Amino acid sequence: MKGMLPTRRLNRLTWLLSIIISIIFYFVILDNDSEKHVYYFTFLTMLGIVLVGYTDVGIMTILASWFPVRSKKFTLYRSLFTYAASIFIYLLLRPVFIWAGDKLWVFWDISLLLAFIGSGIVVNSMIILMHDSVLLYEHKLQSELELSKLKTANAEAMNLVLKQQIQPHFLFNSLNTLKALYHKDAQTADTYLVHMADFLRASIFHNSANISTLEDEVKLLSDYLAMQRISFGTALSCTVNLSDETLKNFSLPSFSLQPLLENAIKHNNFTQEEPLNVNINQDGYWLIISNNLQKKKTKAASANYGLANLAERYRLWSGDEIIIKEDEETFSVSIKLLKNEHSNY
Amino acid sequence: MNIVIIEDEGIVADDLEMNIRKLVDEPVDIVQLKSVKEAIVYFKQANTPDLIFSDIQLGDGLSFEIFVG
Repeated sequence: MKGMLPTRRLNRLTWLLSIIISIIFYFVILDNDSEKHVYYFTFLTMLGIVLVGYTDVGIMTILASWFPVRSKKFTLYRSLFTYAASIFIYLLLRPVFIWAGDKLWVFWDISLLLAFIGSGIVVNSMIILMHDSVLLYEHKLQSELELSKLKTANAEAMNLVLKQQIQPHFLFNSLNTLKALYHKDAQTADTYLVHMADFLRASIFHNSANISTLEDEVKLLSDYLAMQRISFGTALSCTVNLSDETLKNFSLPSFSLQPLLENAIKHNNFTQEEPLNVNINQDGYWLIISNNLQKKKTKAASANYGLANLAERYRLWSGDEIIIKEDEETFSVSIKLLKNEHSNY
Repeated sequence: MNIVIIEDEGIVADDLEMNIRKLVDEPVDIVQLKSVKEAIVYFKQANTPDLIFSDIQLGDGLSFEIFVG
């Protein structure tokens, strides 16, 4: 709990408070006393408040190493010690005041004694109140910061989990296909392996970056597509209609295109007679990924989780929403392209 | 022996067919079916096979739909 106290801010507040009160005090006594006394008294008032303020911070610092700052014990001991200390400070200041005012020293002047004890209590109450407001403010700031950090960390973790989920499942399926493939057609198996290696390599690099160029994203998609086409043949087709310029100048959050194709494959029926066609087009600053809808009757497990995740990541990175449209025949997802200069490169 | 393989991924079906031919000593007659539709059409006119190997999730539905129809 050490170092949790905003000591500097607390001390600054002490000084501010002492200066304000001294100025008020100065004008109040201006008419009643000689000029010399006014300066002395004003200075002593200021000194009193500053001393009480520093004592409060000091006591809090010591207590903070034993108890949590927001605990009951901390508050109790703090009040106990600071009130005692402030009364003590004012009793010590009393002779100085008497001397400065050229008054006669009489300890048993009860009303004056009570006045000084009272001042100690009042000043300390004020200091505690002011310091509490700073502590509260600090606490609020800290919890807000923690909350936002937590949110980001949560999103990042989720991101990572989803990215890594691709690997084992995907690897398992691919190896099975490959095993079947290499007895029959070594050449195709070779091609398959190359695409698989590219895809895996890209996914390793993408794992560390949050934004990738459209070019890389399309490359990743093509590798994935090539592998799926070896499995499903003409039942699956995907056309990318993007200019070289677009590919070079825009970016997307990593792993946003390939999961969309994967989703289309997962949620739709497709055979050689009724193939699945996925199209990727550009419309201004929007990238539109659309496919003909031939919905599976049985719902695939974890339906649309990937899409929700993409939307969440998109909100995090660009502040934009993704647009999902669905009618009788087609399903489309529109995502806003990010200009390259906003990316991390 | 008459064997039917119901599988939408051609490569996997071919691999299975090859393995069956390797392991079974007697002459086998193997038919590959790639979709629910194709299978329904096939079973309407064909003799009942001795053995069926079937994938569950096919391109146009679940293979159980074939046997309901």
